[in-house]
This record gives sequence, C-alpha cells and structure tokens, in this order.
Amino acid sequence: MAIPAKQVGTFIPAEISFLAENSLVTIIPRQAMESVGLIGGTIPSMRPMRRIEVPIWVAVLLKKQSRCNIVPPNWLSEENLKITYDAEAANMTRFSANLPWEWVEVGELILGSAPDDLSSPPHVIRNLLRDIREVRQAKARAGLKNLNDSYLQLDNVGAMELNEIRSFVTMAMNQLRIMQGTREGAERQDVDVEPDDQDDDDDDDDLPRESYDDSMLTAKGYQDSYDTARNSRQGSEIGGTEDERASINSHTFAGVRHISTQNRSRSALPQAPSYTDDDDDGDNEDNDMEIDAAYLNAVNGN
Amino acid sequence: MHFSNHISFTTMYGDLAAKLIQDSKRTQSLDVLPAYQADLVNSIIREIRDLQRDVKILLDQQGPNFRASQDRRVSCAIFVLQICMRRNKRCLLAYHKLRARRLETLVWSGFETTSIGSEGDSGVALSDRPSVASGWHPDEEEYFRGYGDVLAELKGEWTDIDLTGSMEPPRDLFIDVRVLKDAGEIQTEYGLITLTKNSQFYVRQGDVERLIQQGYIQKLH
Amino acid sequence: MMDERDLEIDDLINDLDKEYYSAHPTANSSYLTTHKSRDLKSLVRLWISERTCPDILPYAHDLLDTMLDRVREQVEVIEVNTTSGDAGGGAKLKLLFVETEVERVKFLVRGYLRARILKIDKYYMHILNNLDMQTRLSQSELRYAKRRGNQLKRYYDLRFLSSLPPSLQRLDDTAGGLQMVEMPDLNEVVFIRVLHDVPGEVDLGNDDKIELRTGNIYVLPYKVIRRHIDNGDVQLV
Repeated sequence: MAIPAKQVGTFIPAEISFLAENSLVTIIPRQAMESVGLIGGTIPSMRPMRRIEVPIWVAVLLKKQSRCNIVPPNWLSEENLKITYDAEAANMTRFSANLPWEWVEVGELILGSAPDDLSSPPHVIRNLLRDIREVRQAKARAGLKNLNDSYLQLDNVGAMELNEIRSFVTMAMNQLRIMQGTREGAERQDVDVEPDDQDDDDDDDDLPRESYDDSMLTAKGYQDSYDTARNSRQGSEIGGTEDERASINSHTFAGVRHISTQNRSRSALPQAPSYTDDDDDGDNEDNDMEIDAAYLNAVNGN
Repeated sequence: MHFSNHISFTTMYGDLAAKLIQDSKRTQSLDVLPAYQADLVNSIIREIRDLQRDVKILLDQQGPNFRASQDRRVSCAIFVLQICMRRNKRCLLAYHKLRARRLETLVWSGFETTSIGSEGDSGVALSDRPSVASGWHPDEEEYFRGYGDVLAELKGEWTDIDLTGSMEPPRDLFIDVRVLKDAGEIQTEYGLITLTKNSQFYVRQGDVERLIQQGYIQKLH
Repeated sequence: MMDERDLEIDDLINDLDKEYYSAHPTANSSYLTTHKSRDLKSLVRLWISERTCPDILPYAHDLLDTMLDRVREQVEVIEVNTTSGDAGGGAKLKLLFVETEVERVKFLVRGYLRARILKIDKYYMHILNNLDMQTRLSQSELRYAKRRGNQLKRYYDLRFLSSLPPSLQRLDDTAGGLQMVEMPDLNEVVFIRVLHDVPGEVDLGNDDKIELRTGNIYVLPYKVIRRHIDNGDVQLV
C-alpha cells in the first residue's frame, strides 16, 4: 500500500503535531538575524527584543539555539487554564470555546521546547492541561454513546482530540449506516426474491456496496452470519489494516444486527440505533463494552 | 469429491475456499507474507471446474427445451451451483488481492528488485534484505518485479520529493550527537567532520543515521 | 480557516505588501500575509482533504507545479550556499530554516500524492472505466493506474483467472447482483468544519436537518456535504 496502514483513514499524532507547527507564535528574538525567504513565507529580520510572529517550527528551532524566547499564547497561562478547566467541568455536554483548535499540540510543543518561557512552573501548566484533557475526554466518551448513522456534532473539539476518535467514529457510523442499509435491503428482498433484482442506477440506494474485489472479507461476513453471533465477533480481533478490519466488522455486525433485530420497528432507528436499546437481549452489555473497548483502543492506541 | 445431482451435497463445496480465507485472515495478522497456498488454490480451481461441469450435465439432461421458470427444482440446483462457483472465485480473488497488496507494500518499503538502489554506500543493507522469494509463487515474484517497475517509473517523475521517502513527518533535521568510538572523517553537506571519541556535534540527522545504527555515535536529547 | 472577510483583508494586505516591496525591496513582511503563505496553506488543506476524502479529488496541477518550482529554487539556494565554502554562522542558520522547510514541503507533497495513489490502487478498475474519474487524475497518475492494472490482471490471470470457465474470467462483471468493481463510497462519513455561516439548512436525507454556522464541527456522510466542501463553505478536517 502506498500509505502505511496506521495512516489510512486517520492521521498519526506526529502528523497532527506537524500541522500545528505551521501555526504562528510570537517570539522575542535575543539575537539579530537577517530575514530568510522560505517557500511558505518569509521569516522577518530579527532584532533583539523586537517581537515578531513566526511559525511554531521556526520558533522551536530558534529556541533550541537560545536565539529567542517564545511568548506563550494567552490561553496557556495558569490563570486562563484554571478558568477553562472550570468551564469544562461545569458543562459535561459540550466542549468550552476557550481553547484554540490546536490546543493539545501547541501546548505540548511549547511545554516541550520552551518550559522556561512560561509564566508559571511548567508542571503546573502540564497538570492543568492534563486535567482539561481528561475532563474533555470523558465528555467525548459520553457523547459517543449517542452515535447514530446520521451525523455527529463536535463543536470546539480540538484537532488532536478529533483525530483520536476519528477511526472509531468513522467505523461506527459507517457500520450503523450499512446496518441500516442491510435491514432496508433485507426488507425489500423479503418481498422480492429474484436474485438479479438490482436497482443499480438508483443514486439514493443505501445498500452497502459489497465489492466483488474485496470478496474474501465479504464472503467471510456471509459465513459468519450463519455462525453464532459470538463466533462472528472474532472479526473484531483479527489483525490487518484498519480498513480491512472495518470491512470485516461491518459485515459481521451487519449479520448480528440482522438476526437480533429483525422484529423491531424501524421508527426508532434514525434517532438511536444503538446497541443498548434492546432490553431483552442478553448480549447488550457485551456490545456496549465492546464499544468502550474500541474507543479506548482508539484513544490509547495513539 | 463425490458428485451428485442432489443439492444437499453442495454443502461440501466451499470448504476449500473457507480454508483459503482462514489463510488470508492469518496473513493479515502476520508481518511476513506466508507461503503461497498453491495446492489449495489449484484445488479450488478444480472445484470450480467440477461445478461448471455439473451445471452443464444438469442442463444437458434437461434437453434444449428447458425453461428455468418451469422447473423450479432444476433451476434452483443450477442457481446453487452458480453461487458456489462465484463464491469460490471471490475467495480466490480476495486471497490474491491481499497477496498482491502485500507485495506492493514491500515494494513501497524499499525492497528494490532491480539494482540495489542508487545510493552507492547502501551495500550494508544487502545482507539485511530478507529472502525475497521465500514461499512466493514465481508469478508473485514476477508481479513484485512488475509492480516495482511501475512504481519506479512513477518515482522517476517525482525525483524532487522522493516519492517513496518517509511518511513520518520530518522532525529534527539536525541533532546533537556524541561520538562513542573513533569513526574517522565523514563528509557532510556542511563539510568534513572528524569523529573522535567523546566529541559532540550538531549534525544533519541524515548524514549520521547509519553511524547511529552501527553504534559509533549516539543521539543526545 | 480563512473566511471571506479574512480573504479580503489578506488581499488588501497583499496588495499593500506588493506596493511596499516594489518600493522597499529589502524590507520584511510579516510571515502571515504573503501569497507564499497562502500557497502553503492550500497545500496543507489539499493534503488533509485528500487524506480524509473518500473520493479522489481533482489533481491540483497549478499548485503542485508552483510548489515544486519553489522546492527546486530552495534546493538550489542550499546547494549554492553549501558549496561556497565555509558559510558563516548566520548563513548556516539560514540554511537550517530553508532546509527544514524544504523537508516539510516535500513531506506534504509526498503525502498528497501517496494518498491519491492509495485510492487509485483501490479504485483502478472504476477509474479505467470512467472518464470523469480520469479527468481528475494527472497524466502520470493515469499512466500508473493503467500499467499497474495490467500487471495485476496478469498476476490474476496466471494464478487462477484464466483457468476458470470463460463465464467467470471477467474482473468487472456484476452477475449475481454483486458489483465487482470497487468505487468510492460517497456515503462514508467525513469530519468537517464550517468556515462561515451558510443560510438555510442542510437536509441529511433522513428527516434530519442541520445548520451550518461558523466553527461548527460535524461528522456526516460525504455525499450530503460535498457541495459545501467544493464551494468552500466548509473544509475537511
């Protein structure tokens, strides 16, 4: 593959950090330097003590050579972080708007390269950042329980935070969507058993496309749907690339779903097609835990 | 394998393909590409041909006036046979697609098939190279080389950016290093550096990567 | 991250920059406000979009050409300065920035191209059967897709395909109700951020409707938001 499996459909944390390094930060030069023409801009000529703005990666390089001090952004002060923490803790259903998009990465970059430029002891800032991160992670987790196949709103989420849930959310929502399609498809097929009845040209057709070319995975899915639900879950444990696993899971889940919910009304689904709403199904807790585990993997795996 | 016109026996079909899928599943979790399952593949091809023959026999038995809609029993039997054939084909495709993709990944990761790379000093890497052909089918070696050529041409059009270069974001172009044992002089883009034990340098990481691996110098943090 | 107002201000500043620079060729600008920084931002956006979009986006000929030209220019700067003997400390420092940035840009271009190749590999058959897809590829990419497709076909043929009954030898049949040609699934969800308020609502096609307000971040099927990505109302993140 042209891209390593761990970078398919998502980014590695180093990439998110790399992007954040392009954002600007104010520095106070300690030495003079002529301007430098770059591909993406020009580093202005520097005179000692005269503040300028440069990309973070430039600031980090200068700082490494003790040629500048970095001015930490306002939101990174102890006082503001405390305010932010309180704001985060006060509302467990949404992220506060106090932090910039790249707050996790910028925080790490500045703590890592210029701890002596912070106005408070680095460990105080570090702990505050960690506390904020944890309280926001708890929110993200809680929010993911309400995943559906329609949309998910994540206002004020940070770039790194978003990327940590990306694989999980993408996989889960695409699966929910396929399950929805499978059920609709199954209902249609109940009426119409001709095998070659296909409305191929219907753009709105939500039937999952089961690529012939990906046939092994699909074929496995079919086989699993004849097995017990428990056996079919093994699909989620096998190795392979993200998209291969997702593909396997989508079919195994689809199989399980199809068996266990065929007599449920469809009306509840767009709202909450979650795994937990079947009170009489003993497997539910398992499913729930599986989601939690997958989420944790998504977060901790990075 | 015993053949009968009875549909119930068709449950035997597909077992081989399932084995191939098991192998694919295993392949996905392995770092090395396992041996090619030539016997299994050939058996499945044979099974598909047997199934095709069965279809033909069934159809021949019905004579020229056979109409599928009028004999549900026969048309159902044929339908099942067809499904088995197609499933087998799909399993074959999936297995080979997975193998092809793994071969491609190897090409991307730098296992050159033609000359051993253009960097003259990469002779060391030669002995590290895993045996390319272990367990591969000759056709796979051919695909490996064929894809290598295809990629080499594409790469040749992008020499400015090194298409097969690292997918990790660049960081620390220059690093601080300490010399652990005398290593003579090295030529860098910034001139000649003499590496005497315990000296420290701020050097281009790319210039000393190999010396770090060989234990001559150590990266300082 | 650039909304319409920013764009205007940027343009204004850019114009001022140009005037100022023609009068003061040695003066500095702030890093933010040059056309150069806008090009780099575009490249970053392109890199993110290609990595996160389920479909193959149109190849960005102009931008890629521009960026490659500048990479070459900078590499020349590096070569001239390193071969001109012992550069002073200041010159070395300059080169450190130039070289570091060149590596960063190369990484972006490489990642962009390889994100495309990943999708080209996956959907090659669909591409080779579909003119619209082909127009989105560069000549070089299309040639690659064809050549790889031929190699792959040969591998499949040699290994099993040509040994099958003629009716089963195709790689692109749809018999049995199964579409064999893999194509981008536009229903896959994407992560987007809204760049500026969009009047009205977006119909998600299942009784759900959402509003697009500046800063909103949504995960939703690519298909329902594609139009707004294309016209710059929202961006992939």
